[in-house]
Amino acid sequence: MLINNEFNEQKIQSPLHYIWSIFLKNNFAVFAMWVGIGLILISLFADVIVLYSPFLQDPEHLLSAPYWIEGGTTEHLFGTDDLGRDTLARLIKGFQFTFGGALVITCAITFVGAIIGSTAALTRGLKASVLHHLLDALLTIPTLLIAFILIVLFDPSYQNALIAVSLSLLPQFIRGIYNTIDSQLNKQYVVALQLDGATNIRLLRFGIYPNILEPIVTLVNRIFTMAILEIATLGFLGFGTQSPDIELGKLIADSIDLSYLSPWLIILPGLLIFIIIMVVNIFTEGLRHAIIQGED
Amino acid sequence: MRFILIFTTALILSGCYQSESSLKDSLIYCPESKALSFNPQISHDISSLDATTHQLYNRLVKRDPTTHNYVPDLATGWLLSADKLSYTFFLRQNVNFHQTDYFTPTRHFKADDVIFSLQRMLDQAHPFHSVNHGMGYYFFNHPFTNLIKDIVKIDDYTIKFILKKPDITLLDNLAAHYSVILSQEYAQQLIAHGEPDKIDFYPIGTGPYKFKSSNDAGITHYLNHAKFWGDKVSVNNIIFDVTENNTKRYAKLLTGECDIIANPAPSQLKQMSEKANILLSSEPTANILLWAFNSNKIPFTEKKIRQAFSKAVDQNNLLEAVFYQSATATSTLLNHQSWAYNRRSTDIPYKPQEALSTLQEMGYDFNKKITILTPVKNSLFNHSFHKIAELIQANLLKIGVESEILFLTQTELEKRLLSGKYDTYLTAVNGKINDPDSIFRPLLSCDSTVLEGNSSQWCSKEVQSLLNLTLSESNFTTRIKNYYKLQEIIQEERIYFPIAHVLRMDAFKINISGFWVDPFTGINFQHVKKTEAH
Amino acid sequence: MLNYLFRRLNLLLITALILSIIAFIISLWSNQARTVQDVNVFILYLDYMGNILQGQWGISLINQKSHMQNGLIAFSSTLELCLVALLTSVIIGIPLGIFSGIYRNGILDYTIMSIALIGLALPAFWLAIMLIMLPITFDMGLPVDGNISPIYDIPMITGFQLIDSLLASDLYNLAAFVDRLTHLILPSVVLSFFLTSEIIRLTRYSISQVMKSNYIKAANTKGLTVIQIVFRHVLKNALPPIIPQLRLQLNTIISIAMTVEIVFDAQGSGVWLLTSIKAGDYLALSAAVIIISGFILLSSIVIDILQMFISPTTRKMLYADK
Repeated sequence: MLINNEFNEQKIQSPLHYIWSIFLKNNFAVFAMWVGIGLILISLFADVIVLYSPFLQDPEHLLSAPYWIEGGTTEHLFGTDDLGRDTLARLIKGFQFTFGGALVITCAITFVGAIIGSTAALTRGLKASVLHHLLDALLTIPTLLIAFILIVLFDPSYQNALIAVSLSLLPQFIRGIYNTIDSQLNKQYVVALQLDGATNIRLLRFGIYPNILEPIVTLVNRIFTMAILEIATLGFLGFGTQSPDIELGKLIADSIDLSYLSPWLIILPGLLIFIIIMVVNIFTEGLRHAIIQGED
Repeated sequence: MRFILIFTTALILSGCYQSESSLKDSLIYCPESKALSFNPQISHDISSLDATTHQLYNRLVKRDPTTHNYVPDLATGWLLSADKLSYTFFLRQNVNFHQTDYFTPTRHFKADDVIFSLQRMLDQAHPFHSVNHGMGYYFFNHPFTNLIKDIVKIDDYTIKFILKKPDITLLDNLAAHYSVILSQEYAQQLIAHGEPDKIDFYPIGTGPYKFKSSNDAGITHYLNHAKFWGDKVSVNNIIFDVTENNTKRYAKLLTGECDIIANPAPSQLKQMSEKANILLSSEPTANILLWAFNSNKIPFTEKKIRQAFSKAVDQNNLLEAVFYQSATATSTLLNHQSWAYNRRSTDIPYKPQEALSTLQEMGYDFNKKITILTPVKNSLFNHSFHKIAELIQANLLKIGVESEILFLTQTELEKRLLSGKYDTYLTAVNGKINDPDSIFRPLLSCDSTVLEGNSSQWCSKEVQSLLNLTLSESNFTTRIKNYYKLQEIIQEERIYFPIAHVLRMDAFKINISGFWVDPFTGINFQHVKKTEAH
Repeated sequence: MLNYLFRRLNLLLITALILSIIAFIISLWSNQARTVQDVNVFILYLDYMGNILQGQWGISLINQKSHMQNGLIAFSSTLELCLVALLTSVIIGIPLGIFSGIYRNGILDYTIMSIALIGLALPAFWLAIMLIMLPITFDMGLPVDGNISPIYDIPMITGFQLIDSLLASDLYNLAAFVDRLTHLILPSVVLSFFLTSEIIRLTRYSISQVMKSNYIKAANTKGLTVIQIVFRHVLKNALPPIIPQLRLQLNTIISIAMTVEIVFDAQGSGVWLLTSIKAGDYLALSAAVIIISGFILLSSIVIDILQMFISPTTRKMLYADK
């Protein structure tokens, strides 16, 4: 849809460098990018960074507030929970599970989804039709219901929660890819390539993908956002990570009883989820702008 | 456009929305869990008792909430024979049973109802003895069973209890929650219809409220029993709205969705007590939270090891971290309010160093990982087991003892306990009646199985004879002396590490008054009053 | 035209078939203990479908009622929540989206889009907990739990409690209706956060696409003011395409609504499924697939067909497609 009707001739290849240079001019997005890289590093090296083990109990400091609140100590910057475990350490550990999981899921979905989606878009006949209908059916089942079903079929665990979330998001991604590729197929440059006798792979590599970068970025961003939210939701409902492992949603669920005494234990993990999603969205929004501008 | 109009009108309407608690005629009570059945004879958990004992039923005698004396309820008086072997009870006349959608009584309460209700528990040949028997191992298993030889009807309003041997706990037993009086006529009708199991789920009693409906979302409605024999109630509808999550319960109290909430989380108490429109009630209970050492399993067969382990755990820290102000520390198994409590018993010291050196002396194997069994869910101490187990684990780690916590569901737990393959067990017991024997016997008697409470698998001749002697002893001073002795033995042997007595807490709005909580038999709404809010 | 209708119905049937197979597999799995290995799966399936069509969906372990009845009651409550939230979101989202789309890349656009982003980034369950914690800090009388106060005993007629409580007005005047409405406020606020973001995003995109088109440029050159252009040309071209886009989000919306219901303990599909799963009653899942997915499928087909009647462009596309 982004193709402008006025100009029928489009660049077949958009130099990535050009897009990148446009992106770098957007300070906001660049900042988000650095934060995002920081987040990835934290999730990779979570175990090294934390000052305390997230499971270490400190009976001297039970339920202490974050240090900027009255009653907090600098020993535990973000305070402690009811067993005296360091909130910062637990946040980082939980973040590792939530963010890392979402990252893995997004990569897997993008890879698998792109293959299935492109294959489906380029094939016709029974196979495509079956896939089409299967997707249609899967898309009518709410993601939470899919997750429920899978978690009942297998036992609740972090791995199964990840599988459930991927399976519920995969159809959305395939459908998205399918639609964007499908809308490209009757473009003149694609037809020209086809007439040249290009193989399907060549067609995708040079004809289609360079022109659908922007919708793909949007799609991936959306998948990532939904993955974070769903992993946290499943964790919150008790269908994700099981004790003693932690995950942001589970952190919230575990601290609900303490919401009066120490609301921080609930507010902070929620804010962290919020920040992750904001950062990623601002980054991809910048990227999208750059791509659109680069293509114009 | 019309939609928007309707919607805005609705929003405006909701502006003048009156909070529910202002409806003076209805009172909403929010307990933590659902009643298992509507008959306290077969369900002994506190949620079932709250929902039934005082609301739906009467007993022959009850305890006065202030003086703690026995006062008449459905009985008007009683006589004790000279040989102390029989009690004669005179029954109240013109007492009506509930009239509901499913039952219309044709006669008043009489002796047959008493005999029917009590024999259901005592007589194995009773047609209702095995009805709804699948409801748990504690079914009809209480002190009452071994007490009574026979119950004889003298006339419609006089009955006689004949005891096996002199036993002073009869009145205690008759005032207990399980001695409620059901309708024999209703039971006969149920048998005629071939649905006897309804007796515990569509209850008929003589209490101030009658059962109206109960749904699977955990909402139970009670209606005023118009022909109640006692004082008229002032609130016509009592609604039980089960709310498991305690944050939610507190929020509902504040928004007026609940008038009274049960078991506010310990962590909320401080804030609640600071709110002007919320009051707290607390009652000491006979329950006790304890950590049992399996005295049948090495190394806990050794007294010194048991003592060392109890010295290694910081009781005060446990109380502080888990219960805030809602529990009292304990050193013996009885709570401080009990008449048998030995005031000379000393607190259990927290001396990890001493514990460590004892263990080293005894040649304790520090490579061994000890197991701590805990139930996943317990209706009484819902929120605390998890935390207590983790704190104990941390304490043990300080003296170099590694441990493994096993959270087990009820069925798995029972299997494990019966197999005896555990080192320690974190559990809670609840006294059924107000008699020290009801705490000591399940925990310490050789006859008591591990499922009945003897989770440390304890059996000693000395304790057993002390228990038996005291039960038949009618001299009060001797009984007290015996129980003091028993507590000294417990202190010395350290079969259990008692952690705390948890207070029964309820929080309520300032416009509610007149309800009271009996720690043994549940909450009582008979005299509850509700004034206009604000 | 007929051809299109036929194709849609065909699609409906095939998708429904796949859904029924999914439901069948769940049901097969959930009582695997009872099935005999030798029996032909195909026959079992026919058997299952026969039962489903006759309305025999199995009996719930929780309350001994039919799964169909439980599911329909629960889902109607979810639907009620979704509709109320949709209404508020449309009222808030469409105007914001229009502004944002017209003044694309302006400050107003950035502000509105930031709001939309915030709405998307806040996890629904967390937001719901925050709202439940509100009465602790502020004196707020909005109910945080359940569908309706247990004081009101509303006879069930339609299953939609807003309507039922209105019908019961002879019992409680409007009090029950108002009570139901106030119980809906907080959950629908949470759901609206996501929904409003989506509507703003979709409206903005659609409007900005229309604004780029030649006929708007022509209108501009005619000297029409922005307001005139918006009302005469933009809205009627930009708003209809939002509906099918929103329909694609239906499953996400219902899934968030279910989460919200669980947190607020509103007796809808979320709570129904959760309690069923916890009670080991997995047949409820296959009932849920039939009810919820069936609803989404049917509504999407209805939207498609309606759109065909409303929008000339789709109709044109159909002829071209042929």
